[in-house]
Amino acid sequence: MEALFESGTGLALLGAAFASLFAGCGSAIGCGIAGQAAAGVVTEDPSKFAKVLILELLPGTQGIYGLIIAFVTLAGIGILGGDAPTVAEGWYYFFGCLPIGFVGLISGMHQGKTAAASIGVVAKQPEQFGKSLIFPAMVETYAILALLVSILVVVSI
Amino acid sequence: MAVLKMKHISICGLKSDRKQIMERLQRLESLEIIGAKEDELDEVFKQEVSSENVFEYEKNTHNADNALGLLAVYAPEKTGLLAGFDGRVGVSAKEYEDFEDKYDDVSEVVDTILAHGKNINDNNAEIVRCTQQIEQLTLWKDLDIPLSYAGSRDTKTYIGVLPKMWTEETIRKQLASVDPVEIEVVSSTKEQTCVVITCLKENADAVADELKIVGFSLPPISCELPPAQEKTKLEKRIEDLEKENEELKEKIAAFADRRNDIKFLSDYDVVKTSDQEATNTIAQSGHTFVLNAYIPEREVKKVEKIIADYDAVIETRDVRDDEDVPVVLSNNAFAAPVTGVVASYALPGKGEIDPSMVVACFYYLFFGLMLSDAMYGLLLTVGSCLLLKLLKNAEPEFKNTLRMFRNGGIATIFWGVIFGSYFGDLFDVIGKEFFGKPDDFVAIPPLWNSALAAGMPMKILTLSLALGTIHITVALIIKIIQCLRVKDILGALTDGVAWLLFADGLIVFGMSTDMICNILTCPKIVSPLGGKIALILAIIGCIIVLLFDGRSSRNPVKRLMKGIYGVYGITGYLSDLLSYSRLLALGLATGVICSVANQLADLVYGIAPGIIGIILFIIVFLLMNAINLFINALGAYVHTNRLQYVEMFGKFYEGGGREMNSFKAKTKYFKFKEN
Repeated sequence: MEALFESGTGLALLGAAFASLFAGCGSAIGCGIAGQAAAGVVTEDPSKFAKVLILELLPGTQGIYGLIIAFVTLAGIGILGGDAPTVAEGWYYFFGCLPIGFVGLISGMHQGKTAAASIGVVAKQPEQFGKSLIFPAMVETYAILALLVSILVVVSI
Repeated sequence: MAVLKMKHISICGLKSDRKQIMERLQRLESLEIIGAKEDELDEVFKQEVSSENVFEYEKNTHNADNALGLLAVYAPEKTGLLAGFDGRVGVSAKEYEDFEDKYDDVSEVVDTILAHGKNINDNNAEIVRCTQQIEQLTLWKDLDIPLSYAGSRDTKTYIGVLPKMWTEETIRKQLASVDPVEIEVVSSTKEQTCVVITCLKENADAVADELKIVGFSLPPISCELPPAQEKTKLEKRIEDLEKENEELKEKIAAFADRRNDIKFLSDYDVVKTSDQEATNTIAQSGHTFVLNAYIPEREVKKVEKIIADYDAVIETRDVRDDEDVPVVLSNNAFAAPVTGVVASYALPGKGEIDPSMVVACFYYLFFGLMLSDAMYGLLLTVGSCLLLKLLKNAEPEFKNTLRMFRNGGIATIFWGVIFGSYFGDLFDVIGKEFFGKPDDFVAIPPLWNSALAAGMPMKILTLSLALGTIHITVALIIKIIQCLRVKDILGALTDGVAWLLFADGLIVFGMSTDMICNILTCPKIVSPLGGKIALILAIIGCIIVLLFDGRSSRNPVKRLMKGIYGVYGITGYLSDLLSYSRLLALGLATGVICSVANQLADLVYGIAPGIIGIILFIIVFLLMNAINLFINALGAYVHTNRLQYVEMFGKFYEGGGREMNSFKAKTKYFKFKEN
């Protein structure tokens, strides 16, 4: 364990793992919640498949954001390119990865719930699809802000 | 261009012309019929409601659709891949009128198909019944007498079922008191035992009593033939029924060439339904009818032209302020595609401007910046154009969506060229991997700089925030114009000008300070003097908000408190502005995922260099990019909408306009057009 905190690469890897792991979990949970609601709607009315699928996919972006940060990190620390970082740089990477990891987890879960509610809107009033997209998008804002912070940190090291 | 000017129109004509006039107006699809109000009706003018007709028409449509459903099962229609997206086929009014002669014939076809369908259903039910009987009979298959056999001259035979498992011995034990009996166990399982018990006639009742004690019951089926023969008979029956079904199915399939006629019939009666429903609401006297409606001013001429063919009069007038007039938007080719985006938020309310034009300008710009890859843009543009070309009959709304993606795609190409992103860094990777180019190889140099280059993210962030500032400023200017249109000068000053000075003044002031410029890594373009002037303007704006935001309250303390709360609203502007950072974030996301895709493709190529490697490279590349394009185009669409709805519309647009419920037939297959 001590050795990990003294290895720049180790710390950066820990960060990359956090980013893809937590953000991915958030998306998995979110898509899961929304997917159940979507499947329910399709049993009643298969023609709404495309609409509810789009709503189900909305919480899927957090996992991708996590992947982006993890990838940029891997590309900078000698795994997929770049050079092995110093311990200090390793810490930078680690903290740079945290925002998207945690915000991705929480926002993914809540976006999933909101998407499920929006799927309910589409089930009853398909013509309100445009509006129903906006509610989950509100939650996503914070994942995007976290992605922005993470990306600005990780790219600038 | 804007919200269309609406007119109120009244048509009075002879009842004998009513049907024709109504049908032609219906095909125009631009009227909203106003039902006759209570005070317009009297002894002479009444509503003539005929719900039986509506019911009859709806039933016919329903039947035709059911017949089409059967046809679709037994003679599936060969359709292209894109058929699902295509709209209704255009048909002239003449064809519609000519259909009346064919109506009875087609109606007969529908009835025949439905009758065949019903027969098939009945036969299937019969088959199920027979199968169940066969299952029951299998238990009795070794019995060589009919199940209904009751005995000879001197004997009585009980054929039936005992619960649980029995053997001949155990039964004989049970019936010991009524000997002699002949016992035959036909079949025996854990659940039940099938037995045949024969006894002397004089013992019949005693045996019956004994059997009753152990739960003897008659078999659930009965047959006149021995079970084995009965089974063969039933099997033959099933075979016959199945053969009959095949014939019926073929008979239905033979009507495949009448499919279009049946579709026509379905739509024909839809037209009649909405015609009748509209007729039910208007006022009619013995020989005349009066129809009131709202109509866009530019459509009035068309109605006048139709009415000129009949003995009818038409009267138009401007709508009054207190009328609940529907809203219709009309825009040029550039802005029309986003009309749907505006309408899905809300239609403009009274006195509001149609924001479609402004929305369109920013919509394409933001969409492109978020997707920001030239090749993705090209794919979207080409794909949308191709679909527009192929789907000639598509509904206008769908066509507009396609046009929106086409225009967004063009903007995406623009931004992609600026940042030099063509499937991310695909061509650089190919150059390095396949043509031995050096590590810093750039196939197509960007017009500005790659979005991932050192320092670029901050520059793009600055650009995003600058675009956001312009977006919000435009919104505030529209607010001012709207207030001035209704002569609300104080409103224009407080809700528009003051915030314009306050928010933009602060931003310009910020740009003159070292701190902000250092954070954004941009040169100081505003001189210290300019910064001071901006700050003064911002303070003026702030004071106006403080003094006038609570103007609705008479109590000065309350008014001041409301003013202070109003000033606090500047934080909202700050968060709105920062919200535009998503332009950068989503733009970067596309680029990075593209690089991931390309690197992965490169990695799998490394596994097996050569032909297989190239194939693997292409597969991974296509798969990853397809996902990326879909996810990011969706993201760009959703978040562009959000920037319009929340950041922009929040400043000036309330909506509340009512959508026009136009008088038209909601047909499924054909679109009837005026000649």
